[in-house]
Amino acid sequence: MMRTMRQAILTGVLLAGTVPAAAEVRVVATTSSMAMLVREIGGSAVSITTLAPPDRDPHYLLARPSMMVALRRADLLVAVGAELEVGWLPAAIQGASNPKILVGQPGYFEGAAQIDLIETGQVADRSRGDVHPMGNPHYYMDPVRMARVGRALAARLGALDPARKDEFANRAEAFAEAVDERAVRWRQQAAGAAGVVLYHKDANYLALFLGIPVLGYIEPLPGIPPTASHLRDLVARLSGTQGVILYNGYHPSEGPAFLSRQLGWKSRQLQLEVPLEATGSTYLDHIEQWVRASTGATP
Amino acid sequence: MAERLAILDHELAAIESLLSAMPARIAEADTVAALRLDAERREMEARRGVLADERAALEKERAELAAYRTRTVTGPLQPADPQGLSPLDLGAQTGQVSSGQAFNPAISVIPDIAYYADDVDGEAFELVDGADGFGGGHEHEGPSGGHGHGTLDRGFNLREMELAFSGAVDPYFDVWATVALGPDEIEAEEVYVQTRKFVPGLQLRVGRFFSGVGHINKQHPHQWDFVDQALPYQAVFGGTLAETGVQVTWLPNVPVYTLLGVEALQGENERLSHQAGEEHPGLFEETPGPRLFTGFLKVSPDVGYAHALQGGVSFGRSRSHQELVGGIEDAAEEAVEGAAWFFGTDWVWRYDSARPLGRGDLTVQGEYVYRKKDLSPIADAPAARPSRVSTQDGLYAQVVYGIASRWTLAGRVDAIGLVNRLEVGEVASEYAASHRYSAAVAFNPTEFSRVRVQYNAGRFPREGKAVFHQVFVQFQMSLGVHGAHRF
Repeated sequence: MMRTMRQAILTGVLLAGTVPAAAEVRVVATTSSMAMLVREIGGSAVSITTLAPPDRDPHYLLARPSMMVALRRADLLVAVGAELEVGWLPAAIQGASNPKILVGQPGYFEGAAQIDLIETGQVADRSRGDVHPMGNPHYYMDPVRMARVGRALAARLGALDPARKDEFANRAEAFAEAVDERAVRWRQQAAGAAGVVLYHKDANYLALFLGIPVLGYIEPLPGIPPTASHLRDLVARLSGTQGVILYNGYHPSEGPAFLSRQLGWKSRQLQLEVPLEATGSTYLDHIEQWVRASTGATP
Repeated sequence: MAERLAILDHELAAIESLLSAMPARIAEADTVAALRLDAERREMEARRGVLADERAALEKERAELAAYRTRTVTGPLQPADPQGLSPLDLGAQTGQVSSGQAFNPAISVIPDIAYYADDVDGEAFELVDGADGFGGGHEHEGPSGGHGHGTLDRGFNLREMELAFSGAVDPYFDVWATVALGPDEIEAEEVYVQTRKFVPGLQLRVGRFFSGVGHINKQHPHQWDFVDQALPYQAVFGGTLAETGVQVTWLPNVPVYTLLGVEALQGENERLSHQAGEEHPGLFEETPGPRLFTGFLKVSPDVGYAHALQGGVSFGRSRSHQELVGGIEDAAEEAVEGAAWFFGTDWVWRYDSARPLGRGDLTVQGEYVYRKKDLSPIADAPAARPSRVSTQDGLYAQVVYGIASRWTLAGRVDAIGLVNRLEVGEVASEYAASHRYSAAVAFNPTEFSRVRVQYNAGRFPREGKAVFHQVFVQFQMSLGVHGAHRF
């Protein structure tokens, strides 16, 4: 007991001599979902910069100079991973020349590396569209997986700021509990839902979590815009059945509207990403919105 | 077998005790040490798994042996040769534990195929190459035009196939290698080593690379927004400024993106630091490299998610440039050498609309470059000759707009020789400027493929062939690892 106290005081004195006592961990999150998690776990102990705005497709961003400025100053980079950001993040990291956040360093954190992914082991063949052979990277639509990523993130933040280790762990637990609390109700709500047609494979984790079947995709192949023949095939296959059509903010609405007219199904456009300043509860409300939409409930 | 089992038991016990002590050690350790210990813990757990597997296999074998000793029936227990092809019992595995080809670098193959036509008997590229004041114009300076970079034949061309390799050599260095395979040449476009973790903010690059001056100089042909390169580059550098040397860049830790770079380059560029000693051994003496020194600054304020703005200035000085000008019969009189320098500025503004697949995206960019060559007759010239000072400049401005999902429309205006002056001693002559206007439509089925149609109209006041028109159809593919969308 005495020893721990002495150590704590010593550390405090040493820290005070070198860096400001309440130095924030400077975190750069690639997407607003990851930023939400950092905010939820890190609280006031972290400062957050988000690289990708929520209204743009994170597959197709450009490595802008301002990203490099943020990464240059970062203590920790929190990415979605599984090659979602492969088009721009490696270039941004390379341009930032910050040794702390290189892959393999304590300052690099990829959510996908902390959990198991679905749809792994697909053939790495781009004739099948913009495939992700390492697995579907849109796990941020699964609140349970996000809670698990949150626990891993708490451990990492704790390693970077040991004085607040327990605080981070407690916040991660609180988030996981909040998820669990609503998860049961969400699953009940979704029970018996007919199914969804998605634009892209971006809500598959949510569908799996809720036990709702994914009946088809507006895209003929990942990353390829819908064609008339593909949409006709979808209509032929699904006519006479029930379901809802979900697509997100940055997807064009023509395909979903056509399918909706032909099938007489409801179609809903929702944001895939939470807003920039979202907290844990914003995220849970966001998932709730998707749950309601997937079950065909009126908004 | 019994001994091996004993060893395994011992080692497993040791690992168990180490692992049980781990949580306490991790709790006491500081940040970095804790992460290392955690990695160690995972390694130990993996090792424990391996040992346990071996132990289980040995136990099984022991049980089988025991059964064999106590068996009551005669005849073989198993087929004589269950493994198929193992004539001899070598007593142990003959395999090799190997990662095979898993250390391969990332590879991309980028074919670039073009159809080309013009209305000046296929000589439009020669006209561009020999534009007044830049190449082999009226004053016959420098190496004559001929087959420069990006020259196409009328009809179909395999312009080049780019092979790109990259990867980490070790914790300290990355290597990038881009090789262009042309119709009759193989060229190392870029082969360089770059530091991974040097001093934060500093990057050191050694090798052959595209200089960081200007905005599009560092782009490979498949990254251009048009089939051909902007005219100022063709006129001042004869294409891309690619040199062997050293580059240091510094990104200071300030809120506004500021990149400073300096380069010491060998100086092999035909138009800036040409060494004519090999062609005319009696006349010129080679200046040892590095002969070309450059510096650049890029600044980019953060203007939100929808916009990006970057401005830059570049400067370069060649301490030795050699040329043979004028008459051929008494060459020594026309041999000149001296220094050359250039200054440039580049501006880019990009707007990223949130609409799907590039619809509504807009890029506006422009660059200006000014070049001066200050050449004097070589020291042992037989008669007193005047010095030659030539001053030229060039600029381009272009707009690329996403007219629909996956479709872009681009327009460009090039002008070179707006300042176009040659002073021989006291006599100054002025030359006319050359212009080119380009329009291109590109369809990008995915981010890995592109089909582009481009039209150029050029006005190069030279030898009567003042006006030309060019048409290009280009097919560009990128096969392999996902390329980066660089600014």
